[in-house]
Amino acid sequence: MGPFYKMGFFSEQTGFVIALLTGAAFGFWLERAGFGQSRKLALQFYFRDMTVLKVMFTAIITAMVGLLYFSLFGWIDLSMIYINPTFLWAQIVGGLVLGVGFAIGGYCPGTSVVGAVTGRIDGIVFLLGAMSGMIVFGEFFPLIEKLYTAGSMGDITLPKYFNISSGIVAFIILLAAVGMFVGGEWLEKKFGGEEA
Amino acid sequence: MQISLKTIGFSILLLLGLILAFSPLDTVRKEQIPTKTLLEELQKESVYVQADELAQWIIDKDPGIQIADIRSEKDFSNYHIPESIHIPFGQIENIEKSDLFDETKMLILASNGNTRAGQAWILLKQLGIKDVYILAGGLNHWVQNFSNPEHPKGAYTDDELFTYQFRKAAGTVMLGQTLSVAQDNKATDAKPKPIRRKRKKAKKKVDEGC
Amino acid sequence: MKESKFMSPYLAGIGLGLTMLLAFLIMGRGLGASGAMMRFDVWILNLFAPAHTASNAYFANYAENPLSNWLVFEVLGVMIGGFLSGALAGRLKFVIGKGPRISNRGRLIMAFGGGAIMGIGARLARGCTSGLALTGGATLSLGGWVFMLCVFGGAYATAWFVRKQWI
Repeated sequence: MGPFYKMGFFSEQTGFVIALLTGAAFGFWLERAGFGQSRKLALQFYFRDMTVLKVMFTAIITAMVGLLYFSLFGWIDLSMIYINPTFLWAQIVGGLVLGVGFAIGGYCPGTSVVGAVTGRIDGIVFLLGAMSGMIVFGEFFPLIEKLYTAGSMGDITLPKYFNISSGIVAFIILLAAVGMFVGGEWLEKKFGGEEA
Repeated sequence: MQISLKTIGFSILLLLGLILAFSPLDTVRKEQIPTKTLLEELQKESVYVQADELAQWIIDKDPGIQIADIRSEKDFSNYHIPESIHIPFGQIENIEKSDLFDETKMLILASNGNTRAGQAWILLKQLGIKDVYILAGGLNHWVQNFSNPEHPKGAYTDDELFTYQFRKAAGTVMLGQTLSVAQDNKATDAKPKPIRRKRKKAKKKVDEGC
Repeated sequence: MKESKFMSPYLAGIGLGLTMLLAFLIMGRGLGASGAMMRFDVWILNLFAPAHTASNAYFANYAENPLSNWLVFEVLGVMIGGFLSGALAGRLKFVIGKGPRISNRGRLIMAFGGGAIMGIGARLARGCTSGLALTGGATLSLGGWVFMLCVFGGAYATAWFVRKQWI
């Protein structure tokens, strides 16, 4: 039963090797999808190329459905999975800021790494920019510490917050995802026209 | 062909979702361990932490443990194990909500004896807390163990002597008394008593996913 | 070598999702990227101004050997995987990705600025698109979903102002 690492099946060092392999797979699929190229990513925001939306949601629902079924079969203990803690206001503001950066810079941190290693100069520059931004954040941290911890709600999940079963939440997300895929294809036909 | 493949994919997705929506997902997760199994497990030695073992961890300032004292307020203020937190037996089921409680640490329950702690142990196990143990013999044994350790009699081994000396010495820390450390034998270089049960190393809470 | 076409987004998404699922099953955690950059940042800062990093409450959190962190290894893996895939598809070349209506210099300035803004946003939200939106999304974390919607909101709101850069 998983997660294997937290069950103590192997050491931290073995975990690092797995990290390397996981990361390699992650980078591979990102590049395959075309996420090493900023323009392809950015055209998402002009409804011309909905790859970002499709890849992201397919990945999320694949992992989500997998996790829930694994839990149903008793293969994984969901309570031992790391859940990103919620800091509502920090994440709303952070999300908006990050979105602005995404439209301007054309990458997100993960994809900029892929862009940089495949030779995109803007990816390398973006990466340097992101690392400088983080230093700026650290320098000004005392000023924004209040916002950083604003809206702390702990490891809360959608089913817990809305008090409905995880299965129904998953179903709603799947419905929304399929709706977005169909809508995305339609938008691409309408605004696309070019192979990006 | 491309379109129909997508349609099939989307349909399978929705079907999987529909199954999930009607599956007993959340109830499966909260399924309780039967009390009978827990009662059987309570007989095993692996559930108990020996006083000496615990004292060693406290002296080492082991960051991976936390001791919950489940006795009454009066008993707790009277005397308690160093570093222990007070969670009365009546409130033990709310332990997860307590600010003092850290689920990443190994929890050791301390009562007067074994009975109350055993009941609390079963309760916590059923609440789904995994890393929980009982201080063997409770506070009664604890105090006796360190205030007046029994000197090994007859042909004792180095190990036995070491245990005795350790208890004598640890007593000063554990009970806050100044007892003279026995210096009657020069066996101080004896090896420390090996810890019987392998304990998981305390894990730091995983940092941000990103 | 001729560049091959990109994979179907659905297939790549399934691959990504399965990778994440395996990470959950094996490690009990998802993916990430910006956390590793932060660690790398602090590591560099530490070389030049160790007293400064130690005195800053935020940097001090990350002041450890970067080679003892899971995410750092994961991002090293991303580099390897991205490079391999790019090499296999013949997509390795030094170019600047941009629309036809902006100069190279302009694009690079935008990339740096956008990166800096994103760096700040990622630290504030405690994650980026991979660590918070993808991982949090799959684990149904409330914050992850709120964050994801805000990212798209912020990006769509800004898109019109920077359209010259891309289209």
